This record gives sequence, structure tokens and C-alpha cells, in this order.
Amino acid sequence: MNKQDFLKKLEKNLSVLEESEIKDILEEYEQHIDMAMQGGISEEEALKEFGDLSELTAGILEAYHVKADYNKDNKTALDFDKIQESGKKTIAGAKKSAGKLGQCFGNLIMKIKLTNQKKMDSFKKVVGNKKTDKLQHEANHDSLFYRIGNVIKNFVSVIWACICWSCKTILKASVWCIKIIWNVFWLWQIGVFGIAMLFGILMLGFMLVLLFTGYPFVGVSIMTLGAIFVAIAGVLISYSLITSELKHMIANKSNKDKTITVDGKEVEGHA
Amino acid sequence: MNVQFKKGVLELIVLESVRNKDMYGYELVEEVSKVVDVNEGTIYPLLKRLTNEHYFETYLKESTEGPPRKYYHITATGVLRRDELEAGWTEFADKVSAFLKERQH
Repeated sequence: MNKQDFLKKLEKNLSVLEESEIKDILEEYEQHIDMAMQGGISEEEALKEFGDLSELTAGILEAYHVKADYNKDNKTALDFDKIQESGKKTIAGAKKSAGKLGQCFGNLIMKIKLTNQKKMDSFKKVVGNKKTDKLQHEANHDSLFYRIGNVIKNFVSVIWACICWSCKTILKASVWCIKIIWNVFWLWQIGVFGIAMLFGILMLGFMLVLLFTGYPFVGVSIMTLGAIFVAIAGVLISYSLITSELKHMIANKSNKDKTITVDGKEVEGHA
Repeated sequence: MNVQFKKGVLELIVLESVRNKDMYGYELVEEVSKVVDVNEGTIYPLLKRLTNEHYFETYLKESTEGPPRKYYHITATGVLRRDELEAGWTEFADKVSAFLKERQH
């Protein structure tokens, strides 16, 4: 091995370092060899002084805190080209694997999403060429998730409608019951006050007959008259408190009773 | 000399060699070789390490005999490192010497 071969191999082994550093090291080593040769030593002897090239490389790289990975037992020289090539292959392999993995994952997601086989096949074809948003949109609408979502949505809507209808019905029934009770109560009051009024008129009649025959029933007659007014007031108040629907119903009933016949035709009467 | 001994003191010898006078690589190898028998394959990586660790500074100086030579100059940090190594070596050598003397008696 001559000086040029030595320097060439050294350069190759130090290729992991920056070019300026390699150049600096090579210049110094070359200068050292030249000076040794000027001192009367042969080129071969001068090169031998550097010892094993792999150990020398390892020593230099250690100075840069670079792991030389020197295998002393096998005396294997460092070949950074091989390392670089291996690294590139590894990276390329990793990229390829990552790509395949990504593709598989994407396909798996699509398979889960698309329940319609026909749509899925057409979608796959499109994925092979070019994705279109329209088809993806259609596929999404036929997807299992979308259908499940729709079912859940409809179910919730029905339940909600049932709840609303039940609440409204219960409320209406409650209002209707309250109105019935209310109206029955005031109709009862009208009846009570009406009977009281009639009884009061009857009593007043007796009182007036007895008064005119000489009995001192002036005070009692006035009280009876007052009771009659109170009863009339009670009837009016009770009537005013019953609901408008019942009043309307009562009014219609009374109007029907007043229909008359003109020239053989029924004509609605007016009060 | 034992290889491990050489490795242990080589840094001290190199630092001491450059302490009084700036030297270029070949000259330094010649100087160190006076004390310990080492090859260039050991010295040059060591010089590179000491330079990277800022114990040495380098500069190029024109030579009448050929291309410019790279000279090594010890820094203040290098001097401190040299003193530290010397103290360690002295203590170690004294203890070993004392031990050996004691054993002889």
C-alpha cells in the first residue's frame, strides 16, 4: 500500500466527518509521511508507523465522539459506504412498509365504513384512480354508521314526540277535568241560589199576605226580600264564573230551542 | 513500557511537550517518542482530541522545506489540564513507589 492508497482508504473511513475536517487530517498525515520520508525512511515504513488503519480510524473518530464500531477480533475495516447503503435501504424499506401499513389501515377503515358492497367496490376503483367527493359523500350516506345514526335519530324523535303528546294530553285532560269540576260546582251554586230565590219569593208572598191581614211582618218581609236579592246575586255571580265554553254551549242550546218554521223550512231564531 | 501505562501518561507527555514550545505534528511525535515508544497512529488521534477539547489551538506556519505546517499551541485550559494530570501522576507514582519500597524491606 502506498501513500495515496493509505490516504484514500483513510478518507473513505472518515467519510462520516465533515469534509473540512477530513481535508485537515489528510493534509497533516500526508505532511507527516513526507517529512518521515525526507528523514530517510521509506514510504512503506512511514505508513507502518501509523499502525493498523482501522485502529487509527477508530482513534480519530473517538476524538470526535463518533463510535467507530471497530471489531478488533475480526479485524474488519470500517466501510462507511456500506453503512450508508444499508441505512438508505433500511429507510427505503421502512418507508415502503409504512406506506403499505397506511394503505392497509385506510382500506380497513373504508371496509368498516362502507356496508354497501357495490358502493364499496366502486369506491375502491375510484381510490385507485382519483377520489371524488361526490362518491365519497354517497358512500358515507350508505354507511353503516350513517344508518345507525339515522335509526337512533328517528327513535329519539319518536320517543320525544310520544313524550310531548302524552304531556299535552295529560295537560289537556287535567284542564278539562278542572273545568268540569269548576262548572259543576258553579252550576250547583246556581241551583242552590235559584232554589233559595224561589223559596224566598214564596216566603215573601206569605209574609205580604200576613202583613196585609194585620200581622206585624214588615221587618221579616224586608229580610225575605233582601234574601231574595242575595239569591239573585248569587245566581248571577255563579253564572258569570262558569266557563265561556259552557256559556256558548248553553247559548246554542237555547237558540236551537227557539228555531221556528217559516213556509215549511226551519229558520234559526234570534233572542 | 506497558501499553496501559503509555496510554495513561501519553496525554500528560504531549501537553508537557507543547507547554514550552509550539510544535507541529511530526516534531511532536519525535519529542514524545523520546520518552515512550508510540506510533503516529496513537499520537495524531490524541492531538485531534486535545484540540477538540480546547486544550490545544492550531495555526499554520509557512515552512521553507515544503507546505505550511500545522502548529499546536497549548491553551490556558490545556495548562490547567496538564497540571491536573501531573498532580495525579505524581501522587500515583509516589504511592506505587512507596508501596514497592515498603515491600522490599
